[in-house]
Amino acid sequence: MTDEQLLVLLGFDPQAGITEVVDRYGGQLLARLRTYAVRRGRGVDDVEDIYQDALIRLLVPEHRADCLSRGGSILPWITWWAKHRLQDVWRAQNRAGLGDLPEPEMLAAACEEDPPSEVNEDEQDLEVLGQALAKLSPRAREILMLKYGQSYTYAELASYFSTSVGAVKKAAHDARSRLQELLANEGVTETWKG
Amino acid sequence: MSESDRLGHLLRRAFESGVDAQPVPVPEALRERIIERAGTYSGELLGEKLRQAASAAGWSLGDLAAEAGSRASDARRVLAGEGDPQCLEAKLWGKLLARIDLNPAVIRDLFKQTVSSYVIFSKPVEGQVFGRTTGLSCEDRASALASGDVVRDPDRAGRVAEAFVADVTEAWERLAR
Repeated sequence: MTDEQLLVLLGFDPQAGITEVVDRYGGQLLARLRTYAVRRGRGVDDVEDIYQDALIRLLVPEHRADCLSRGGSILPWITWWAKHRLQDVWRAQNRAGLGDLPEPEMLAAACEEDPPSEVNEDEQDLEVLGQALAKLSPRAREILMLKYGQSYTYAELASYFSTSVGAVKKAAHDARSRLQELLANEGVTETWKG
Repeated sequence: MSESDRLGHLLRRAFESGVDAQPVPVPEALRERIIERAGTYSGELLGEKLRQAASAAGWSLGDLAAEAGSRASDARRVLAGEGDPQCLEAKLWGKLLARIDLNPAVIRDLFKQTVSSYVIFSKPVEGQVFGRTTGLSCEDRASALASGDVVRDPDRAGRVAEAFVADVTEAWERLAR
């Protein structure tokens, strides 16, 4: 069943549709949201509520229409939606000066209306990039994650891997090249031209 | 931005976003909670739309439900976001929607989805004609659902819902004319 067919199923059999979405994308979405929260320096306490809400909101016909209008791929759409909601919750917590608003208020602050208005044009690119990253060796992925995700300098990378700066520069270069090769194989070379 | 810069920028965003995260098992309790909620959410959304329209048209929920006469308690349940919309006849739906100035076309998809989510079919039993539980009363349908002797058939459920919403629309148009 394609994502577009799944979006149609959600309109006819909500429970079967949501079951399929959870089983197909639930583990990936949960991992992404937890990782996103941790890398933004937040705890994962709010993640499960937003995760649940993001999945259930696929039952709002307007949301499915929005997903379809952005290409019809469920995982990028739902990730994008949930991330915006997490940001809303964190903003609300910051405004209130509280780390843990009571759940109903937190969700009310997060879920007042329909999809976030601003479109993230990079979302599909990120999806493709995520798939390409998964195909790299664990070592190559770790180097890129430390360099771009954690902003390690080459000197710090060299120290982390107990090797020379030259060696990590080459390893990082090779990892990027491999990544670009994988992306080119996916036919998305044009995507990277700025 | 050069190609190289763009890749670097996207890599930073990708890692920040967690798209590189490996899938984790969804806790069973969480999965069950989500699926259970999916069973009632369409009705809640429909109830919310109806309540908003009723409020905008100056109707209290009690007064609007009373318009359903002997089916007032069923109407109250539907307005509260609970229960099967087919508990009310299409003609009665047409009347209620006309009272609150709500064109069924505005809530068509959600209406169909809610109706469809309640449509269940009896399991075929040897020597018995394959029947649908949509012909049963609300209480009997609830019992049939609870007994587990039912099957879901999204395609057929969709057709039943489509036909019901068409009947409601026709009833509404007749009153709106």
